[in-house]
Amino acid sequence: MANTTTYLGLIPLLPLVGAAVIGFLHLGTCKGERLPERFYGLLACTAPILTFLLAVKVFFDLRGLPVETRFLSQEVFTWFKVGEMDIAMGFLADPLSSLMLLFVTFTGSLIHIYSIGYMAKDESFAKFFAYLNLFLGSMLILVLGNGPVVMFVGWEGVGLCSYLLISYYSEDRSNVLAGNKAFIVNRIGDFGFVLGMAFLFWAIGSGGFDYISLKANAHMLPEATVILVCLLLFLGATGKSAQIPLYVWLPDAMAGPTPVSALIHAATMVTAGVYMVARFSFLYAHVAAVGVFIAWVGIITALVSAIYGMYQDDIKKVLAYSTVSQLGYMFAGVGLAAYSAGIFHVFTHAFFKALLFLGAGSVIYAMHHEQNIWKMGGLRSKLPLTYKTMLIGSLALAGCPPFSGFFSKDEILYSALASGHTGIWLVGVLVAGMTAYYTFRMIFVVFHGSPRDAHAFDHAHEPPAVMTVPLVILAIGALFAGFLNLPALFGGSQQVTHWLAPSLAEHAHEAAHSTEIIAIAASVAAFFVGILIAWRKFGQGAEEPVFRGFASFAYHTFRVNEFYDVILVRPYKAIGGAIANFIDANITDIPAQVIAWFYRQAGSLFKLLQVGYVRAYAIYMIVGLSVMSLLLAQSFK
Amino acid sequence: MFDNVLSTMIFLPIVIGLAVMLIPFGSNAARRIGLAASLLVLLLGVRAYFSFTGSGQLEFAETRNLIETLGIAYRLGVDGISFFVLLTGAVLIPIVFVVVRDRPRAFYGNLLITAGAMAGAIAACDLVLFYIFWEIMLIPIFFMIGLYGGPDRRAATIKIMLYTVSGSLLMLASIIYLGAAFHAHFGVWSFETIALTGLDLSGRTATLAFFGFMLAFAIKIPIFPLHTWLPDAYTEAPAAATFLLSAIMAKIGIYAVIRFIMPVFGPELVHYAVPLAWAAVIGLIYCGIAAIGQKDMKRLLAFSSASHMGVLALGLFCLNIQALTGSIFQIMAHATSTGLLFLLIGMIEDRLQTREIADLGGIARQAPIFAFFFAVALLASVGLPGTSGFIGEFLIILGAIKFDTTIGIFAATTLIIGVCYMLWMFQRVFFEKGNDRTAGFTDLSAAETLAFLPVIVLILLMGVFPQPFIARIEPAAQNHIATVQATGRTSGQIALDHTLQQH
Repeated sequence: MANTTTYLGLIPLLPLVGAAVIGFLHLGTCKGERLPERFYGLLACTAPILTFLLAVKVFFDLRGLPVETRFLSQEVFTWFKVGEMDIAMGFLADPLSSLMLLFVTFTGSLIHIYSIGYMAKDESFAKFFAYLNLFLGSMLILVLGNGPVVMFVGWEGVGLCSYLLISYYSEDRSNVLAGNKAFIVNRIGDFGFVLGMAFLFWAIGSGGFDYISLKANAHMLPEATVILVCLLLFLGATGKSAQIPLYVWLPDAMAGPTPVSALIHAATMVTAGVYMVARFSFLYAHVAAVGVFIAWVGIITALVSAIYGMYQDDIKKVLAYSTVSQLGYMFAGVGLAAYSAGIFHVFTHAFFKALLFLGAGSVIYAMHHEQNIWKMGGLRSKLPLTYKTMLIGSLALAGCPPFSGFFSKDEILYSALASGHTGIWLVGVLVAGMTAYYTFRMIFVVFHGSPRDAHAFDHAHEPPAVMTVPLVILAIGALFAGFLNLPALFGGSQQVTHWLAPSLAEHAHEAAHSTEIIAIAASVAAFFVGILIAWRKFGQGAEEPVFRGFASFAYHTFRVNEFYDVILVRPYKAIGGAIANFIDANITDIPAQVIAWFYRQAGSLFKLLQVGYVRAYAIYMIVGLSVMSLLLAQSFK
Repeated sequence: MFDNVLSTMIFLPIVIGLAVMLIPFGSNAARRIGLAASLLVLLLGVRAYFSFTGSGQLEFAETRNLIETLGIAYRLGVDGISFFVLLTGAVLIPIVFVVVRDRPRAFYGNLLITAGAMAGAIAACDLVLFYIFWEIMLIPIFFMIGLYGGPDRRAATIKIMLYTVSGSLLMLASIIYLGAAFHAHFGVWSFETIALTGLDLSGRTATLAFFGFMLAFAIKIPIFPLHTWLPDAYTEAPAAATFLLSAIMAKIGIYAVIRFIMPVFGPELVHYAVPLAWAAVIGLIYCGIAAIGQKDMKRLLAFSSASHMGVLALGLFCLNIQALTGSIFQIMAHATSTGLLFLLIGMIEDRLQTREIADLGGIARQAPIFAFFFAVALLASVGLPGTSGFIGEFLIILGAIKFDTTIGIFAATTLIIGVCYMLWMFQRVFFEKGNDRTAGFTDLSAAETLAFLPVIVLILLMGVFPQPFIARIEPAAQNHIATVQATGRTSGQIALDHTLQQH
């Protein structure tokens, strides 16, 4: 068959082998003389770069295929087969996964390179890269898996790496707690994922449990099952992609090293939920109500986290909430069946958010691990390159035309307006303004005005080239990626949307040009209002504000963590403690105690016979023998 | 020796174990002899693996009459199910002799006798023979807990004794009932498991006999609420005994349900499947939540093990091929991961004289290889894809959803419950700052690393390439499902219809 390949499986395999080699070298040498960092750095970057080259090959191979059969697949081996369940370890590259593949391996490679500089002199440098390679391998399984079960392997694999890397500085309890939280909250989502898979399987899985078969058989599903499966899978997505109600782990995940935040917690892993919804568009497209629900969850998440973002003082927390907020936009897009718009935003976001995190990493590196923006200021002169690249990233994030974020975000908002969901659109525009505000609040406070900490400022310096070159490359992406999907209004031909079309069950929302113009005008206006307010408040330097009332409530993220702690975490621990200390020993143990009581009673009954006199035992023997003889005599009759 | 491979795998360790107890060897010599014996058993097992066809029929069968008039015979044989339980033991037991050092020679003798008796219980195809091995395997365990256990060992020994002896007595009564029923029906005595399948049991006595077996096995597994012996016994027992209890003996309980209850008591099993499945699910949640309240690593893991056994037991009662295959696969998967965890915790105790979670910390930094091994076993235990733990758990949840949606949904909470206590424990023991006590923790030696490495490889291998294992398990599992459903038609019709509707 023309669509089968033999190299697809190699793509996830390479980084996994890289992880194993680095990991075992690290374990083997960690007690004695360590190998040089340069060696590990080169080794670690090999796999990502090779996978990027393979991703490019996949892209061109796909382009060479006719649109109707534009996919490549490889079934490497039968993973497990029980009864009607037959799961192959198989991989599928179609336009959707190839797009994901390209930017995952591209940003992945850049962030590996950047990390060589950022993690220099770290005592477990090799371990870090082993985890990073492991992450990339898992992410590629997630993206390339040919069905939900294989996707789940990657899905949980990236979750594990996320946990390991959040807890990376493991001496500090709060970091490990953040890692635990990420893993556990994600597992709540995975609970939904697994159940969704199970229900889907029993409905149509016996006809093949890979995307191609599922898509072909999807019409046989009763609507109730589709709704159930879609909601359960979305629960999985809210975990991985940090949406309400499971978003709480992502801000804490900033405890990990900054390149990790850029790669895992901004550019790649957290977008997996959006990818999943797009992947299952053949189901989601059939249940519009579920889609609208998802869109509302997304846009409310976008709003709430944008509010949080406006009050944070940790540079990474600002970006983290911004990520949650942007993911909300993406869900609004895929929820309204504008799958390509959602995925396009995933794509552009990967560039500008990775850029912003790596830029923040440069700032933190320069400021000797200071993350509080109120300890910074005026860094523009000290870190000109970081400033310029971050400015590009910020303009893209804030949605300034013609930066990439403008086009992708606008497409989502336009879809909301064109499909008649004015409420979602209005919230979306409001969030766009807030995004511009908090992004430039960060830029102005960090880079403009005068230094707030003179000592740290004096020692600040631009990081080495191994870190700045990736920044520049990502800045180019953040600047120009939007043009790849230029709408007709600007004379473009929406190349990305057309590329993705074979993979998605998209409903194109056709509306008049005037609607498109209204959408664009509103977004641009929101951007200018946001940036203007930020400039008025922080443009000339400002002092750290004291939060009161609503601002304090927002600064403390509406106390959602405390709320979860009171209604979930503490009761759970209390029940655990109660079972462990009381219930198990005193209530559940009753059967055992009854048995013990029975034995004891029987024992005291027989004790009466144990009188200790030989004559008594002699009588027992005589009685016993007599009875036995009688019985024997009876049986021989 | 290979002609009677099963007998050799059973009696070689028993005879050597007795010899080690009687002849005054030094501790180290006894340990080495034990290692050699268990490696020999492993070698035989591996050799047998390659001639095992996995046809679903009994292989390597041996028969000798013991008491001809009563139809009691020495019958051995393995099919896909029992063979894998047998191999699980053969693979794991040598590790104990590498990592558990400096114990009295009787300790190693007891280990060997238990190992042999367990192999006997697994390979026995005659109920009386099974009963004999079932009892023999417990005796050394009582000694090991009672003689070499922790401070509260006496209470723990009495408790496990009371529980298991009660179960055994009920089982004995049921075995005699089955023999009598066979005699009443066919005019001859027999306790051969395959022959007993032909019995058409019905009525109240059959139900009583079913519960006689079920209770004995449910105690051993254990199924909620019969688990209360487990935390005490697992905690007080020396690591090697806990290892045997959790990794192998509990699995024999699961195996026994498949081997003896499914073929003979099909209608009863179908009829009581729903309440039994609920007991299993409640146990998995209850014990999983209890684990978070523990302060002692070993006790935490004891509850964790009980929780996971709930998942395995659930797989038995769903009565479909996915769940049953999942359970059998999980026997080996769970034995490797939990067994490894108990042994590693035993090493922490040996080196630091404590198991209190609050006293530990920072071990990952001191001992990266130790931490890596622990982490792999932990991840398998929480069912991470790519490790052996995922396949079984996933198949069981899938089968549970097919069996009963509500039960399936509750069963899936194991995904969440497991990580809660495991990560909490890992954080407090391996991460965070170390203290004066843990600062002296030494990493695994080369020999220890080498002993654990095959199991680590096995955990990953079974996760990535489970199919060779499943292909050998599935035919036997399919046979059992077919038997249960065939007998189910004669009685227990209502319950069967319920199951069929789910298909």
